Amino acid sequence: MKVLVIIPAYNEALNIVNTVNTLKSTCPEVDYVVVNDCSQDNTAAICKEHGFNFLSLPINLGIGGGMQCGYRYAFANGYDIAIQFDGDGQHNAEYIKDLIAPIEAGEADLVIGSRFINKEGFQTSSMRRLGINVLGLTLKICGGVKITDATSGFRAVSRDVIEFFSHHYAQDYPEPEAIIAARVSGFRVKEVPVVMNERTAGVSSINTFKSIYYMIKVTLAIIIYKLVGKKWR
Amino acid sequence: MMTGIFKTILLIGVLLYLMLIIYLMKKGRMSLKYSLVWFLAGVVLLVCALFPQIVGFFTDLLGIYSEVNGVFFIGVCFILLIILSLTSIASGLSDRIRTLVQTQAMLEKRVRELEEKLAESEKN
Repeated sequence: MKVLVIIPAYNEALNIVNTVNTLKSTCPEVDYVVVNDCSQDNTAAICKEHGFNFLSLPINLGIGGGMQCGYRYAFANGYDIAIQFDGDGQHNAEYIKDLIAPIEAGEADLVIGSRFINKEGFQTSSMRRLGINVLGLTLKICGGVKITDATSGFRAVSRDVIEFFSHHYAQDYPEPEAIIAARVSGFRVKEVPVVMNERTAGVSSINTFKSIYYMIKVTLAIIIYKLVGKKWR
Repeated sequence: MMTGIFKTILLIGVLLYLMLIIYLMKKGRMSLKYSLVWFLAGVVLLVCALFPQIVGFFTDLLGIYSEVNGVFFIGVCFILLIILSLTSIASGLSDRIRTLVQTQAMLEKRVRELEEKLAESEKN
């Protein structure tokens, strides 16, 4: 199966070379594409200089628009499986095979890497854990699926979901919203345990100050999607 | 009851408003599609100014005490409708821009790779 790793990158000049090189040495059999979301630092220049396979957006679309561009690229180039993989070094490439396995076995269409199943590795602050649990509960009620790590951006999707996401991808709160969108459209969602690292360099796009506001908005967004979201096809 | 002075102000205001819409359309600063809801609001308010008895009929029916309140009510309804249509227009535009940006990025990648290939083959 043709596998594409999509690496969204916004101002990741400090991490991107390391991330891509580690990925290439750990999983030489998969293709990758970096999506540079109009970074203000020299992420694009670094990608060019190192001869990376990359897409460069002319204006900043945010993580949703950037990821969707990756999905469109995956769909246009005939990939069977697409994997979301953060450009900041949080995700471990050695778990990519675990993420792919349920899709190859035909057991799931969307596989999420969760750091809270085995509770190993970097676990984030307790405040954010609480928020993630609230999201998990909301997704259980609205989507009928047990999700322990709804905000995890480490996930793999099948060809059908690649096509779905290339047409409709949640823009505002993409990680949790993509799960409910996939459920409403009847796709099977599964979680597998992974170990994540703490960010090695740079600043995360979500700070603690915004977390509560984010939580309320995302919970509402999930409920609204469940109520008015259309089934795709 | 609407006073004569309020009626006059309303009439002049609505006429200026309609002229402004026509002016913007003539200058090509507002497309026909989006001007319709503004026009509708203007025409309804014009009718209210010219025939207050129509407003009176509806305010009596709805139990609104004064015709002026009825005119305000109609105005607020139109404002909500117009704001809603603006949000819908903005959402549609951002969708289109996003698709365009993504397509441009994919084309840019193809051009870049073709140029690199060309440069390489010229070297050899």
